[in-house]
Amino acid sequence: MEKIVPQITDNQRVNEHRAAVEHRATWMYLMLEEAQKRGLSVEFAREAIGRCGCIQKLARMETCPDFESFMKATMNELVNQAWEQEIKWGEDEVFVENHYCPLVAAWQKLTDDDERLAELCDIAMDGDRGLFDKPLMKFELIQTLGEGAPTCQMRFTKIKE
Amino acid sequence: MEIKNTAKKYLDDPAVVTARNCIIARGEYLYQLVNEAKKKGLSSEFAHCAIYNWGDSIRRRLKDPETTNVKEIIDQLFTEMECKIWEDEVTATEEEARVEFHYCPLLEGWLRNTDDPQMLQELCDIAMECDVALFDKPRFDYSIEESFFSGADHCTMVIRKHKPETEGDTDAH
Repeated sequence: MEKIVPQITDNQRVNEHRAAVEHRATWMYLMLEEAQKRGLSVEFAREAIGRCGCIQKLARMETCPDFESFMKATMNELVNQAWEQEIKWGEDEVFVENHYCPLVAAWQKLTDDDERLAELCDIAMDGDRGLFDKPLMKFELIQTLGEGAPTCQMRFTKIKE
Repeated sequence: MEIKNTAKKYLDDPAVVTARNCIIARGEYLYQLVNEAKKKGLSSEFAHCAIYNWGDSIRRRLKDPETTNVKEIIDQLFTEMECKIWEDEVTATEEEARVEFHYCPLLEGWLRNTDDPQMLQELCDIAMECDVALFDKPRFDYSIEESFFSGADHCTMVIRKHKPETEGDTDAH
């Protein structure tokens, strides 16, 4: 898989944010490596990171209790630039396409194993599944940079009461 | 014992706030991974090893990875932004450095998930493996003089150039 390359490169705040996200991805990679060397399967990481997402969801819902406010807070300007997003905003559905991912960028500095990259991406997306899926919306992951697609594509559909 | 870890400065600086939130998230990742591994029977030694390796990778990217000049390393690592994020007060010479940080976003992340003092200390020890890799023997002596866990409202990290006590001292890390 080719190394992903950002188009936005001269924005200091974006670069700092990406570096911080890369740091988290690197810790995740290194801890997973050491845990697996010691015989643990990746399941533990899926549960751990999924739980992170769920906890963040509950915290965010305290100030953003509905679909629109939750999505606006999450897909904010800094995230939009750091992930180089194209977003189609609808009342009941939001479609997001990411052209860059700092997590994948971090992992590509550590490994060139495409299968491992795809696995790391899917484990990290357990965080997004925890963050987004229910009760406000249904979260669909259509394709990812981590699996070698040209962009990440995600659909968020409001769950109506 | 109450842990006094409160950000007091740069609360209106969006870059600092964003950076802190990222580190809080990283702290939460660390807690959940260590906790989940423990539930499955794996001690936290794996995390100590991982974060030490991270610190060593940072050391290898310094201008001179083998330098014994304390200030040289401090100047590279404690940038203006880093000092804002952690509310650091840093003094450094070639021989010694004291870093006093008055806010720890990692600790804030952990406190959102647990109030178990043993777990909190363990997570801190894991995170500090990064600094051990950067600052410990044989080149330096590294110690924590005060910490949030001892009731202080800051942590003080002291790094001194290691001076062998006798000829042939082989006290290596």
